[in-house]
Amino acid sequence: MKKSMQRILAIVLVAVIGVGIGAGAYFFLISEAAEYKWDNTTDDIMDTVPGIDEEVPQNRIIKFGVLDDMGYITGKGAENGARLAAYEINTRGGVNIGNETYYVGIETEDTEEANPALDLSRGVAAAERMIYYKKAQFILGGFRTEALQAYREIVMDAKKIFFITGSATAKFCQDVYNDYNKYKYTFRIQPLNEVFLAGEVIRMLAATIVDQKENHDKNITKIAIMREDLAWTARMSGSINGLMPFFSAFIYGDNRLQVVEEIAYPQTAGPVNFYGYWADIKASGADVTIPIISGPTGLYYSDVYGDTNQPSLSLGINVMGQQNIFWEQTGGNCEYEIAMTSFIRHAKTPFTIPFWDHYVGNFSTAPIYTATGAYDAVQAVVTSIIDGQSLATDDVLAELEKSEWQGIDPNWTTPTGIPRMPKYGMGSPTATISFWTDGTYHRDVDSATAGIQHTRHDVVEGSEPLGHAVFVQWVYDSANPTLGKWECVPLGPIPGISDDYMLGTYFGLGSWEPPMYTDQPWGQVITANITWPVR
Amino acid sequence: MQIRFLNRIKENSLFVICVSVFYLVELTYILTLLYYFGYTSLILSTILYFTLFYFGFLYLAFNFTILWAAIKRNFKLIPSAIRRLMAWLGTFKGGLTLFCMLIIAIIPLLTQNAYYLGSMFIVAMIYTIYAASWDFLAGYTGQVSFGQAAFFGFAGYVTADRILIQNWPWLPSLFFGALIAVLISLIIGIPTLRLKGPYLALGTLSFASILYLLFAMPTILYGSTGLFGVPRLSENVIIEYYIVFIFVIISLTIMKAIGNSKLGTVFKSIRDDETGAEASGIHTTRYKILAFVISAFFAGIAGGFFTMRNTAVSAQIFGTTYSFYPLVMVAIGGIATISGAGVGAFFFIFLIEILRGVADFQWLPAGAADFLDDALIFSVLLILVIRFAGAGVLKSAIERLKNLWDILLGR
Amino acid sequence: MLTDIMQVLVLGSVEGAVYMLIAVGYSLVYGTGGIMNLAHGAFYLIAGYMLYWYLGTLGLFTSVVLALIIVTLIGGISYLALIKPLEKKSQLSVVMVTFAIAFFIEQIVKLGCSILGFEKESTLPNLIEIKGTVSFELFGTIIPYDYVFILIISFLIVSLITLFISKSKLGTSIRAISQDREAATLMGINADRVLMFTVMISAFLAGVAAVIYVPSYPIAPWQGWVILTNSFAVVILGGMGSLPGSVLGAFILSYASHFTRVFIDPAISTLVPMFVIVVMLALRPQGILGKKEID
Repeated sequence: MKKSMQRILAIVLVAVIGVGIGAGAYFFLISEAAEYKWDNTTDDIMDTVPGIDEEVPQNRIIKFGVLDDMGYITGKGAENGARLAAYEINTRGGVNIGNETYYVGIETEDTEEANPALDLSRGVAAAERMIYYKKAQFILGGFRTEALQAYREIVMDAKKIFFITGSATAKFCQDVYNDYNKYKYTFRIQPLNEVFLAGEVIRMLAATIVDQKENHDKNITKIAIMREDLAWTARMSGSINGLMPFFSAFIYGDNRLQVVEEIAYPQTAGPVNFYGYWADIKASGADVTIPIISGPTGLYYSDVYGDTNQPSLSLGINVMGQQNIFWEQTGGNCEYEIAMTSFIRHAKTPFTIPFWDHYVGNFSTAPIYTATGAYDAVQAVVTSIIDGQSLATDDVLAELEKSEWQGIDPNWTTPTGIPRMPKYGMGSPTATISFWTDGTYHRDVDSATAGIQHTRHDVVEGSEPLGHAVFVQWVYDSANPTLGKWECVPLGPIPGISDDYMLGTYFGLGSWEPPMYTDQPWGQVITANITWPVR
Repeated sequence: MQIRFLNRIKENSLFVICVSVFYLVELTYILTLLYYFGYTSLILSTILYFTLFYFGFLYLAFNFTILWAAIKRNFKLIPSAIRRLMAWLGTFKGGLTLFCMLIIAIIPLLTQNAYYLGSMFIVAMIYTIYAASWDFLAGYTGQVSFGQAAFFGFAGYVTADRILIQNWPWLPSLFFGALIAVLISLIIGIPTLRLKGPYLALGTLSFASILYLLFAMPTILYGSTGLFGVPRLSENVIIEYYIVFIFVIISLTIMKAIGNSKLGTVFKSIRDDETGAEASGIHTTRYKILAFVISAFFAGIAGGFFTMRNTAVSAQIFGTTYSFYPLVMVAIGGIATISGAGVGAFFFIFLIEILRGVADFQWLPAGAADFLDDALIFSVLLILVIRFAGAGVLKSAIERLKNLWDILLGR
Repeated sequence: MLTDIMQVLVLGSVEGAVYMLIAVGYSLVYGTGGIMNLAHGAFYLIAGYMLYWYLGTLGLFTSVVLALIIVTLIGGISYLALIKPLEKKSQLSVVMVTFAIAFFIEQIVKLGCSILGFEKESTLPNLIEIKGTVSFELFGTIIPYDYVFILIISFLIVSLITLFISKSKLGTSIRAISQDREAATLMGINADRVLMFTVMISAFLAGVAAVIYVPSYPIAPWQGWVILTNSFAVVILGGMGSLPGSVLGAFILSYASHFTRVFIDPAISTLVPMFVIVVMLALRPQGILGKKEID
């Protein structure tokens, strides 16, 4: 009796286990529930469909996936930027295609690419999850070249439009040109590439040198470079080193201006001792130190910069320095440091200040470059969707590639209702798209067919011809000594250095002949306004 | 000798072999068809194939009858290994293994979602080989490698290099990568395994770090970028799935077979009593190195597959996390079982997926998602398992299930 | 040239002093109990993060004391709760459990940062500030005052520990156990208790190293593994379980790596410890001052 009871119990148990496994497999793999649902309940900007306070049918959501390191400032920036754009578009009534109204949804996946010990498989897994599980239609994000290279392949294989918002490696857009059929879905919003960045740094450097020479009677001749030992910084440093003799001849008439010290530190085994590096730089007597640092080691760089009382001016790329809590993080050691950023609250374009205020109002932090990039990417895609009246990737791609309009046209409005600024191609509040064909730059795109075949898909933000970078200097703020403040270093046009010259740097130094400018007068008006380190 | 061997086959097993080969050819046909028709028409193409060319399943049944008759006739003469296999499949454990294998084999019929098949099941299967390779070393010989990622990663790099840069097909690349992993294991194994004390643990952990630093250098060894754009086994995820599946079965079978063979007994004797083994004339260092090499080979196979799955490889593949994964999986599944590695790997992947799914919920209180970090949960799990269930979770669970089954059958 | 040599001397000495603290603790535990503690780098890590988390609210002194107490307790708890029960089972599971502890602490540190709202990687203000500056120049080398402090403290602590081991009653037990555990147990020494104190001392030393070094060095969650492999290099160079060997190894290694950094290439300098491990394992695994353990 007992035995048969046991037997029945066993049968029941085994059946329960079997049915459980079956039901589990059915539920998680096959049923409707296995499909990911873009849930939305509130009109909170952090909800899936920002600005809409009800459930939106799945096929009425334009699904944007953000792939980035969500634990790092670039990822948070990209997400917030995309959310802000979605919020603006949705609260103004969404997107009308045919007779249907669509809303913009945002989802994120963490690629963990800011981790100094980078694991490519995380990025690949995130991209697969975003595309095949969450079924995102448009992808944006990415900032570290190494990681991007790996998961971009996944996105391209899935034939999704991918707006890169943070990486400066020229290769991404070069690939569009080299293998158009495979990589045509790649777009990239500023920063354009390492040569462009080097050009911007050089431009800033030139302004500083001339300003000190003309206004303060100080000759800057020695330059030091401190960079993470990575592929992109090597190319940037090559550009700076290559440009230096020309600038020297240009400014001083001889080769006085020189790179006296270059330090490439390994960031893989952790930060090596910066006291040694800074001592080397101090000993070399450098007047200006150019950092090329995108990772968290930038913090240590600045910390020791202050600790060792460096007399040189730090001027360059330090992504950590774009965060508005940088002063607090370094305990004020970043004083005098000039950091390059894409945006600051000034009228770079007519739409910058409204964007800035709206962003700060929502997220109570200043937007870094990935934030503006992601914002513009969403605007660009949505505008193309409206223009093409289609959500199909190829239609959106065709619309994005059209580059015919000129000037600000008040009749054309973005989904946010602000007149857009179509300069070279479609525009969005702070973006214009420029297309380069085979080795040439189309300042005026006068034919509708020009460049489509050979575009590089670089998206330039801001006023023509290139959206210049902005430089901010960290200075002591007596009103708020623990937080310091940014001071924008306004940088006007440098007479004698034409934009064509800057563009020439775009195509790499290998094939680039330095322009002849010996007969051009060196300008009088220099607007650099820099607080020089007093130590 | 040779003639006798041939005669034996002719007399007794020829028929069986012929029919088996015929089945293999059929299978190849189906796979080829699949390859050209795509996975969506999986069932359709199979049915089409049989109805058109062989008048339906009658043919299949006919074939089966012949095969079964042949097996029955030659039952005693079938090589003892196969007989043992059949007997093993009849036992509870064997049946359960077969059942699990069948379930995994039919998964692609149930779902064609590329995310589930690719990022979950294929990765879990690759981790199965990887964890089993660690288990082979630690479980059978008692030597612990904390740098299994060195073989995993090195083979990954070599495989990627062969495929991408030398344009080799994937299969030779895979084996080449595994062989290089074997070489690496000799380099670590020979100096460290001859020593008593925790030198192997130390050597492997440091060696993985060296490889990490070397491969992360910006200029040499493919630079900090690593290799990317490695083509997958197939563009069709189902074909990829079955290739990996076959490799998992072969690898696990080999490792299990070695474990049960005389060689395995020697390994276990070293694990249980090294001095005793030495006293009875076993050259322990040599056997330890042999086990280490076998382990490295399979870790290399797993690494090659992993690289092809990810389409990319970077220096972090040598990182501590990847050396940590097999420990967790084996600890969950149970040490010295080989099959436990599979259970651990699948559990590992599913738990990560569930954690991600939970973290996606919007209503989660702020900050709660931080606790759902997979590395955190797995480290806690590992500590608990080592502390309280040294034999792993699988063993006791299977015993419970076996008791249940016995009662069910009325034994 | 003078500047370069000074850099090697100064930075090498400081790093050597820090690694001396870490490696002495590591060696002590290995020499006494034969415990290969892979969580040793994590002890450094947790102490550093404790300091980082408390510094803003509790002030320097309290946070240093608190960090040291907590890390010592963590050492004791992990011995009592995890290492001791497993030690009787197998050596293998001890090593595995310390590996798991190291991994766990790394995750805890990350978790703590996101919960408490700290950046995961950061720098701390220097400990000593004199006349508004934190560093001084000597023959072209910039030296933070902290470095002087690090040298003083680390030598002081290591001398005290050596004195403690040679003079005190507990120290005698430690020495007895390291020589022959079974005999010592027979003589009535409670080996478990002594080992617990050894692990606690070792954790304390790692904590001291963290507390003095972190203010002039950045902190990051993955540093534990770097510290661990570097201290491997030190103890292998000096000899597993030998305290004077650890001191010697620490200085040789850090001078070598700073020499490589200054005169050859910074990227190669990170490889020096690893290179040392490989060479020593192949040629002289017992280290410079270690006992021969080869069969």
